[in-house]
Amino acid sequence: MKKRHGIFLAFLLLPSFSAAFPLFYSSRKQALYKSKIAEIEKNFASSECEKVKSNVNNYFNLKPPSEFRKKAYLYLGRCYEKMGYSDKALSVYKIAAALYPHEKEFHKKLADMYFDAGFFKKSSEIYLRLIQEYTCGWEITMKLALCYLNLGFYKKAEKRLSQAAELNGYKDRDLLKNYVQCLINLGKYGKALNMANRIPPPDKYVSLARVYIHKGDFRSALEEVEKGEKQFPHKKDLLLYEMLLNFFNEKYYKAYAKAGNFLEKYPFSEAAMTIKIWSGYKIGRKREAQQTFLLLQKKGKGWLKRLSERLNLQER
Amino acid sequence: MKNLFVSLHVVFLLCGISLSHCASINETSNEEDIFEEVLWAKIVSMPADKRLSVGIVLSGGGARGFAHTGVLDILEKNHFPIDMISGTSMGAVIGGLYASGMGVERIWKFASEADTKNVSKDFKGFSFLELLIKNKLISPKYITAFVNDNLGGKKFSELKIPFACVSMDFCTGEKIIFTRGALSLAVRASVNLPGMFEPIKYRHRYLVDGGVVDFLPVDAARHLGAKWILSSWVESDNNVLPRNVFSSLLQVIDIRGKILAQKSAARSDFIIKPDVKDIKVADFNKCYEAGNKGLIEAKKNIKKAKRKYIADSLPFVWRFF
Repeated sequence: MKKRHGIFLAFLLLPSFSAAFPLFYSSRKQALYKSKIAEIEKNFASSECEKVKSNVNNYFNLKPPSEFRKKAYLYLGRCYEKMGYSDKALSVYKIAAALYPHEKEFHKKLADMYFDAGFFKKSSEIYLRLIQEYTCGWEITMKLALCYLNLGFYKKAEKRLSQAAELNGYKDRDLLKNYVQCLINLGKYGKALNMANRIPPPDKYVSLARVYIHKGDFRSALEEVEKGEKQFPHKKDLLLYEMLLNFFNEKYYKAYAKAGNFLEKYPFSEAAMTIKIWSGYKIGRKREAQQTFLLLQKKGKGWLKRLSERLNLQER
Repeated sequence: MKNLFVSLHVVFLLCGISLSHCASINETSNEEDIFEEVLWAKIVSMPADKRLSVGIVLSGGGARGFAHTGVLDILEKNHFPIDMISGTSMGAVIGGLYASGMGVERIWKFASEADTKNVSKDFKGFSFLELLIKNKLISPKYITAFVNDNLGGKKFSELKIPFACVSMDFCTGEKIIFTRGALSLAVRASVNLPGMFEPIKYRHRYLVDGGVVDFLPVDAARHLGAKWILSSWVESDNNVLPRNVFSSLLQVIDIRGKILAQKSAARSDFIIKPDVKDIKVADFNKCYEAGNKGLIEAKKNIKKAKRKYIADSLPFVWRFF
């Protein structure tokens, strides 16, 4: 009797078990997926990219549903980026962006990769779509502006830089510097000076000087870098501009001295060697200039070395 | 043990040298950029007689030629001196508009309006039918209206920038370089396709498109006094077999233009070649696209162009520093 009751009870409970089994089974699977993802996350956090790669491949072999694959794609892509395999990272993000068209993160990653690789047209199209479809911060607007700047669409760049600057509250240094550059290209020097004044020092002095340089006002440019140099005597850019602007303001003795000082700090500076050569010839220090010329020929690698060769000052 | 110590020491030393080398390459390029910026601004702020005067040469190419708009845009935005301009065919149209003082923004508008202004109609439909049926060269009314509306009444002497354009005497084959007189007639003669459009009578000559004798008019720019030449050359793609009389004629002109341009290009100091090979001579609905391609290509090359100009100018301007 007890045995019959037990069998009867089992038959009654069987449907409930059947209904509960998929839930029980799927919650086990979900737990498995979650644990695999957690392992991948842990590998990524410890920069074990080879492990991330193999774990992701194994994870995909389990055929998890689409919802559980998203994070795996992200970590795989980021790992490829870390390992320097940009083309593989790009492929992963392309696949992910196609599979998850509404996931902003993949599209942004794709756009960033195109941007870093110099494919500004492609990246601009994605950034523009992101801005149109989502609420995006100033960083994406700035990236779009930089795409336009690199492509030569200066008016479009100006519009986006203006938007980014407003969203950012005119705080980000690089954003403001790029805005100044764009305004210089458009010939809007007044606005460029206003924007340059908003940049925190010491970059403010460099930006102001740059605006004056492009206006052709080398004297005001020199005044700005001299102001900056008094406060920040070790800022390399300021020292470089000061040396150059002294030369082009015909202050050859000062330029010669500044170049000498610069070379003491940066002995391989081709810019300083070039200014020392040029100003040396201008003030009659031919022997020292020639010595520096020979040094530049021996140590120089770039465009400035070739520029000095073109002048052929030794024969002048 | 001693050997291991020495080997490790050598390895660390080599790492240090290579790292400092990498750092110095980055520093050098930043220094070069700053030097280039200041030197460039100094040179271009000098009057044209104290530096190398720059001639911009614009090739022919029909609708492809709108790429020159993008090139001029980038040159302007990067403060590249434009001391004189020469052009052939569509290069003469764009060059003439720019030299007359028309802003690049306004010329861009033409690029986007070219199709709606029916410029392409001179190359299609009833015009072409008239050519076949009457066996008579046509008078292109839309191109003529376009040129007259924008350049009519102007003389070369009134232009903001010295300008030259090229056409050919259909009877003698002589190259005719226009540098004076009525601007619209000169430009119209330069953009006058032989075999389709009626030659333009000018004094005792009958003039057709200059692209047949000088597709990239470097000589015309030198004639104006240019010491340094930047050429914008819009090349065609002739890999497609033409399917009709009109296409065959255009292909012949394109091939001839390419051969001539290769010789002229060798006499340029810098060349920009917008990637517009897929745009055909009469594809006036793609003018804006051509302009954008010209802009992108010019932007890619502007730094090289600046450095070349600086390097070529330096021996000349040194005495003025």
